[in-house]
Amino acid sequence: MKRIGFIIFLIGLTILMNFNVKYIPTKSGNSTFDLKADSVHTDTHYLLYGEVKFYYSAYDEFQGELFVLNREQAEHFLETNEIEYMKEFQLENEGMVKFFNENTGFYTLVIKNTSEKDLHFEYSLTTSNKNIKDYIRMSIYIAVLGIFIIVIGVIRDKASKLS
Amino acid sequence: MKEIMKWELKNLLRFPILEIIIVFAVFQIGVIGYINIIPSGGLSIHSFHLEIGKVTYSMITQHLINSRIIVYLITSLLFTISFAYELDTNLTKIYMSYPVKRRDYFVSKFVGCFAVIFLTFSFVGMGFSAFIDGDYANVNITSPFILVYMLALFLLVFFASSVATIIAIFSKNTALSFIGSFFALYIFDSVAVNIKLSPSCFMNNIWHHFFTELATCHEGQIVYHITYTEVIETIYHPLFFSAVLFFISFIYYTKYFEVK
Repeated sequence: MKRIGFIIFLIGLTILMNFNVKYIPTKSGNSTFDLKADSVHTDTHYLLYGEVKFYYSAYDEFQGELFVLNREQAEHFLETNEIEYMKEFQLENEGMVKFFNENTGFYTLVIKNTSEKDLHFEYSLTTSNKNIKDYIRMSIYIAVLGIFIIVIGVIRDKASKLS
Repeated sequence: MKEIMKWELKNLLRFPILEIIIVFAVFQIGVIGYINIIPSGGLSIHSFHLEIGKVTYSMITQHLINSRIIVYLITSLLFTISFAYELDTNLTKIYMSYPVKRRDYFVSKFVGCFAVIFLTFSFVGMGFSAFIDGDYANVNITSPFILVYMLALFLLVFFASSVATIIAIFSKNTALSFIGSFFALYIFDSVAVNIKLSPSCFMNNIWHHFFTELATCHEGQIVYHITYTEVIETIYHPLFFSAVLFFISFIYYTKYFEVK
């Protein structure tokens, strides 16, 4: 038990060290596509905790909406085509919108063209490379769990020796 | 054979060998790399989950490909401990004096070392796929793309193990076996980049075949067009070469090997 705890502790410590010393990509590739009038485009991204910036540009006079969906909402959207969302933004021609992402993970972005024209749309996403709070928290949890198991192992050993 | 295997595993899993392997595996695989965008419009839930698994294991397999040197180092170390070090310390001689078949002794050692490395890296890969997004942990752990990661890992470890074994049993010396097998693997990997036998070549081929090619979307269902012929073509050369080295070691160890 002590050894299992020690291994879990080491795993937590290694992940903690990894995220502090290694480079984490913070910019998505550019996504380019044609967006027909009154239609939607859906992409799923891996987003880090913290501020996410969505840079977009569309030719012609564009008006649209951006929806950010979590897992349940994404699956509901895929099943029913109805949009339930965490966040909603109005988009116009070109620009940048930013939002705060509270948990690292996969999120689905739905871009809706509400203008009456077909157009060409392009966007990219960036997050800050300092946004590794989630990973640090989770790796510390793992390391603490390891220490907890070690302590239980030590107590068990002592109890069995006493009895 | 069961008893020899148990003893071998006990020997290999003693403190701190397992801890060292786990730390190296987590250090190499447990970090976020580039994760592709999933164009998810119009997909069925099943295909959406398949794509989540695909991008996750694509990243993890890429980390494995980049961490080949660590696999070489660990493989050289374990096979040296198991074969050459036991010869140096006369442990093999003691075991050979028991009614133990050489065939069983060799296979137990090889399978024991192989299993320790393969299983450790497999569990680290699976664990990390669950770690990167708790919401999709069950999707990632049950993704069929885990098999691609395991196939790449199997070929790499089998290749490194076969080279390390043949050097260990022919050199019969701990230092020579460890340094020789590590540098042989490292130099071969660096020099023979374009040869199909080279791990850098076959690992990248596997990655390209399974993660970047041949998928079409039809009525929300993603269809992966990966044929058996393509898979066999990708894995044939390393598998054949590793198997040949393994059999040479096996025949030499069971028929001609002399324990002094």
